[in-house]
Amino acid sequence: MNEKVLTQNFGLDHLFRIEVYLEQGGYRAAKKALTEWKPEQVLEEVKKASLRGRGGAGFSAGLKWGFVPKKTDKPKYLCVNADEGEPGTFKDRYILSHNPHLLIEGIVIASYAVGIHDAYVYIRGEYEVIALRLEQAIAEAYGQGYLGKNILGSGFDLDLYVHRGAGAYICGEETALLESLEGKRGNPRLKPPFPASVGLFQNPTVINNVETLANVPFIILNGAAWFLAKGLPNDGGTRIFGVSGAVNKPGIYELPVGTSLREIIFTHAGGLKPGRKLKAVIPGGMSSPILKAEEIDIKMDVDSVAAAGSMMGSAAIIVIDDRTPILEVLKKVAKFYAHESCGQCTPCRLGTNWILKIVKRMAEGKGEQGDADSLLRLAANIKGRTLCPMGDAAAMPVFSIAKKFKEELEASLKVKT
Amino acid sequence: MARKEPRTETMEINHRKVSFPEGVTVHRAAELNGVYIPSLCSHKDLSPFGGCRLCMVEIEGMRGYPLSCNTVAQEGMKVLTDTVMLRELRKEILKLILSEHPSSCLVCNERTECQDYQGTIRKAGVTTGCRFCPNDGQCELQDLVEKIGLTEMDYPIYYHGYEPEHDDPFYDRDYNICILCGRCVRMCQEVRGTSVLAFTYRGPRVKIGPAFGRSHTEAGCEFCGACVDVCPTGALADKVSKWDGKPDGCYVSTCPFCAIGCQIELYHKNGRFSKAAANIDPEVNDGQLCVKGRFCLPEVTHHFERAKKPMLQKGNYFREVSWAEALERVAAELKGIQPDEFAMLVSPDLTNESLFAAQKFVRDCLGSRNIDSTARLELGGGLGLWSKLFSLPISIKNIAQADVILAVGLDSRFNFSVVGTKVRKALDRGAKLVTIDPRDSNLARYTDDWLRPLPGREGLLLKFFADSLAGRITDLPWVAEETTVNVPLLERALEILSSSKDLAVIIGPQVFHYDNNEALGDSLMTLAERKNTNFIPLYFGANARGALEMGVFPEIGPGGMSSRGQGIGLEEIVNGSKRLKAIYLVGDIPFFERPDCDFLIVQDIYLPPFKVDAFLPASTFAEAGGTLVNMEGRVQEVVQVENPPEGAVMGFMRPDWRIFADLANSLKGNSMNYKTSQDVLREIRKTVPDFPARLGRKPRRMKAIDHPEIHKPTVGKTSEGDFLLVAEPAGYRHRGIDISSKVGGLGELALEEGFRMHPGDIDSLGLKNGDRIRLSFDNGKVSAGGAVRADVECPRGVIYYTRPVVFGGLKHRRELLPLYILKQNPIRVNVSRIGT
Amino acid sequence: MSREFTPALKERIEGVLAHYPNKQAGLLPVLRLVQSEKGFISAEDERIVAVLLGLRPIKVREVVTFYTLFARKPLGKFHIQVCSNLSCSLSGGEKILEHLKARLGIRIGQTTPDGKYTLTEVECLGACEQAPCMMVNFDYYGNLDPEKIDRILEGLK
Repeated sequence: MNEKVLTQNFGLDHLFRIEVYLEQGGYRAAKKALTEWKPEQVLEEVKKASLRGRGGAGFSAGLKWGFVPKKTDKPKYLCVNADEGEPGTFKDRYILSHNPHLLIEGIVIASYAVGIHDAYVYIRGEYEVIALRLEQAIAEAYGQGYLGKNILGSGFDLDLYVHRGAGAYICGEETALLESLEGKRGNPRLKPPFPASVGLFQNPTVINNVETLANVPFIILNGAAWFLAKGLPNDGGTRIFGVSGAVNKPGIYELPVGTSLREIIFTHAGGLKPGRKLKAVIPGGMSSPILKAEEIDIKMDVDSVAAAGSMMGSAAIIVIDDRTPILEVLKKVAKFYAHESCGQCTPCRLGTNWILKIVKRMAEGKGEQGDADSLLRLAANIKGRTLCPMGDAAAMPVFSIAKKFKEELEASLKVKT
Repeated sequence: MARKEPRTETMEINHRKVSFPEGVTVHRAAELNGVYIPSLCSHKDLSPFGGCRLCMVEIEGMRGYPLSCNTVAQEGMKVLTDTVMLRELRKEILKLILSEHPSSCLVCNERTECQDYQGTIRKAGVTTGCRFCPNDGQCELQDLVEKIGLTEMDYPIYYHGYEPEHDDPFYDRDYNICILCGRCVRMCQEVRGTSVLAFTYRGPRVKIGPAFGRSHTEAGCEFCGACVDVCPTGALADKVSKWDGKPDGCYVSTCPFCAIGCQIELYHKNGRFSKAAANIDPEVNDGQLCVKGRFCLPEVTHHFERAKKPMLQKGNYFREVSWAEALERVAAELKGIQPDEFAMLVSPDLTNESLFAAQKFVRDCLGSRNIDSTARLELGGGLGLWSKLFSLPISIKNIAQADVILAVGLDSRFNFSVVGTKVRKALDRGAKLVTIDPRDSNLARYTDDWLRPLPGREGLLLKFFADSLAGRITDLPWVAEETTVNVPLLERALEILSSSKDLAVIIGPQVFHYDNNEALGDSLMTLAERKNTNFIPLYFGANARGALEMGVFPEIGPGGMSSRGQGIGLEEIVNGSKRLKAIYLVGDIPFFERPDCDFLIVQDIYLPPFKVDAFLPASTFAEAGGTLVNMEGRVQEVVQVENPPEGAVMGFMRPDWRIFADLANSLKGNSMNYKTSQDVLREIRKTVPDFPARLGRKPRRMKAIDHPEIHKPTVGKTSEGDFLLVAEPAGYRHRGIDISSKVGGLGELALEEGFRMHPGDIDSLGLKNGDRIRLSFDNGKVSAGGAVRADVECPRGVIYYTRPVVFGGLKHRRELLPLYILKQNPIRVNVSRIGT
Repeated sequence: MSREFTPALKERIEGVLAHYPNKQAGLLPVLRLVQSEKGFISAEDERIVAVLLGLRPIKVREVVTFYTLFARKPLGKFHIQVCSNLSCSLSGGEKILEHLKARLGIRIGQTTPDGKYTLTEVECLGACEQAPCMMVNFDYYGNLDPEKIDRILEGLK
């Protein structure tokens, strides 16, 4: 059952070269889609496959593509979100560096389905080496006719460019990403209008995560039913879980959607280091609410994790052992979001800053009674009241930590005073 | 183009059925229906920002708390704006905002005592104490705290410790009390198109400011003050009035500085006019002003040099005297002379009432024909041409609706800013812009086709376009050669212009000031025959159109009727062809030296720079009521803000019309029986046929005066030289004074100083910025010197300087005198350096 | 050093701008090119970029100050960026930072007097499986411990 899809050939040397990729049957899906299928068929198949976004929000990719107006005089754009910045997340880096052609193939098919002729990969600035590799792969794809004019003789044109970010977590938010691509500050846009109708350069735009698009060729090759069978009925396929923190074997693990969190940590990632006990897990990147050790018997799919009060996010699992004071975790969380707030809206700019100040003072042993409550109130004040999802991202972990580990936080105050 | 009125729709706000025009936001719909939704960052002219989060509401069927500023109101929507949950939520957000806004007076326990016993105003930037901020009592944030009912703070106040910035003219900035609502940034970028202000850094370190931490002046600020007007806190504040405290009230009046006639709000405190701000008046300026209207009014009125008492030359002394003595003396002098030995010059900055009273005084009371106005100097091309221009439909508001705009010599940074904002609005709606300007201008950046002819040839270009559009035969290669604009650019411009359905033609003041503007006049008349053409001829001299209607010219009487026979006017006085016994100057001083006469009367707000025999102190716009006619023909009211009793402290100034009436009464007894400006207005309505019976501020078309145009051939032969010298009209003038000599900030900007040249030209002459140069022309017979200033906006081979039309208060620019009296513009000159 | 852009740099900028329908969109990549050529982005560079792209200087300024990867003062030859985020700190990231500070004799954000190393503390680098990790210029180094760092530093030339 544990059969890898996306990462199946990652062990091969030079998979990132087009010759190797073609040897492994690469670009067959693109050929099939572009020469045998109509765009609507591709769209329909992806919809049926219940491919949910791998970036964080878990929205259905097929629906997202469907929102783009069919009949429009405006150019349409595809933006690939490779601004992997959520702490704990590194899965897209693997795809980009090991198998860039898989992503390119996914981009070609997605663009064909939506009728897009210009696509950008927004890659985070730190991934310079990977960006160069991707650019090389794109050049190869152009050379072999998988990009450019009249791809595979289908009459379909697509240009693909790499756009490097410059260090801003907020640009992973889709509208901030668009602003950044337009050469502006990465301030999120007010919604509505949504990018599907008014996106990049004011034109209809699809924004998808790297892993999401990498799944597309397999759906085309093997069909939606096959894909669904890999995962769950409303959340198809496999996911690349990135495990880091206090485990023996940190790394990426491609597993079916719905694999249990306990299994991932203890079976695949080798469990905790000797003599340590599990204290807590952050299941979907730093912005997801924390789970206590006793809460990890859950299935890892978008809906189940949500039901457990957390979120699947980017499936980046951060494991925390009993030697780590929870205040330490809280400090990192607080520092990160205060640093990355764009500063446009009040609750996020000031709220994250106040959280950081309070956490700092607690960490310095100057905490006051009621600080944990203040954190809870501040977090509640941010959540759902900000311009973009980053407010929620900042508030949720703080809220969950302050709530679930309130006793420990308060105890740490007493010890120090 | 038919403009569709938006449909009216209905929705429910707080269980009440309300109607609203289609397409507005929930916030605006509530506002239109008198429902208050708190907000600190939204503004009617600006795009939604979503920063403050206070305007969140509950809408049935929508998740969470949507922002009312970014949610379009829809038919049948059910909105709640003031639930317990929302109130709680707003309080919490407000607490966060206040944590970064060191103004503890908002929630201080001793707030009431503090207000009751507030004795002095502390100006120092201290973090505690209610007087930290100049905006106390007029602060949106403070109001909001009051309305939301916040009484306690949960967070300690965080002080950023930014240094307050006082280096720029006109306004101070203290970003410690900035709440980052971004209104100023959006105003600067979206409405003004200036992009001086922006957010820098991010997260908690976000700060607003110009690029590179430079001063606003260096960053290209136009000092329109729109950012100050929209600032909800005291972070941005006028220098002049910031510590005045909350004004007692305000009047809506008309700006007296140019012919646009912007509606302004004049604030007053303790009976004194304290500051001016833009009025949201959709007809003309719609909340926008330029630096003159926004910042220069109080200083022009209250400058310490203001002349406040009547004065007479008595023997060797120039003495302050009572009104009775002054009037008696002037009346006695005037009684003793023949009507032909007297002449009066009036300024186009006076109100209609004063202009009318002036001509009546001269014509009826003295029986003289010799009244003329310096409006002539502003209306280059002759009064006949202008009366024709004024007979066309002129609409500033409709510039925004144009699909093609042709701007000739327009730079809207420091003058005519409002026109610039309308042009931008049109461009935002997809209009095309063709610019004819040898100089780089702020609009050239947005332009679709920028034609840079030789200075002085703009008229030729315009004539080419006018003739081409009218289907006449034109000679494209010849025009291209004469104007030095290449053929493809001309063809492109013609293509754009031909495509227009709604053309706006904006003519900057410079173009009217060339000596030869025959082509310009012709082309304007040709263009006028085209359908749907909106002309905007720009000129200084606020009430020059009123001067035409009131008839203050020898050849033109009230209502535009030509009076028979010629009188002695400006030209005769300036060139001294007839010596007069008495000259009476009202408001303008078109001389450097005292004109040759026996008795010189000056009636103005400041003393002239030479000896006069009688000085009569006049009221400014803020001290006297009246009406002005703007370029569109709107009759607009100037409101009297200050009305103190005459006395040693506040002064003895009187409105101009009243001084004429007083004099008339001293001469003949009760011949001009005016008690208020209303009395004069009533008589104007009787005498001037087209003057509106009621002040409706409607644009009017004037009847063209059938007056034979005198085309004066260019005087003198063509001069030789390496450079072309262009005289620009002065924009900072009001009632005979150079405003920048009274307003410190404007002086700092030094917009009209020196000879402006392209830095490349300065280099090629081996000069440095600031070096003094000598210009010589007429084979070296005449020359003048001054400092040179590098200005990248100048074309190569051209030198610009500002020729004032009035010379009062221009002492420091006297060395330029030989240039000021030059008849030729532009003229070829040679340049040499003064000194080593 | 003259801040004028070399013809080669201008050519690369032109190449990048061809990827976008308007010039402003090329701002980020152009600034990156400038930084890679000159080591950092000076105020003068910002102005030149503004002219090249037809933007107001403030438009460049607001972007340069927003993104953390743009350096506004000269960096050392080797820019060491150490992750201090959660996964790394769970695996001993703080120790790495302390070791580097002691070894280089500088604090975070400083450059060694010889201009060789600049030490920066950064948020997640996206290499959590190799925590603790750091980046030297654009090369990743993971699974660090003090000894490994010493070896890496010796290898840098």
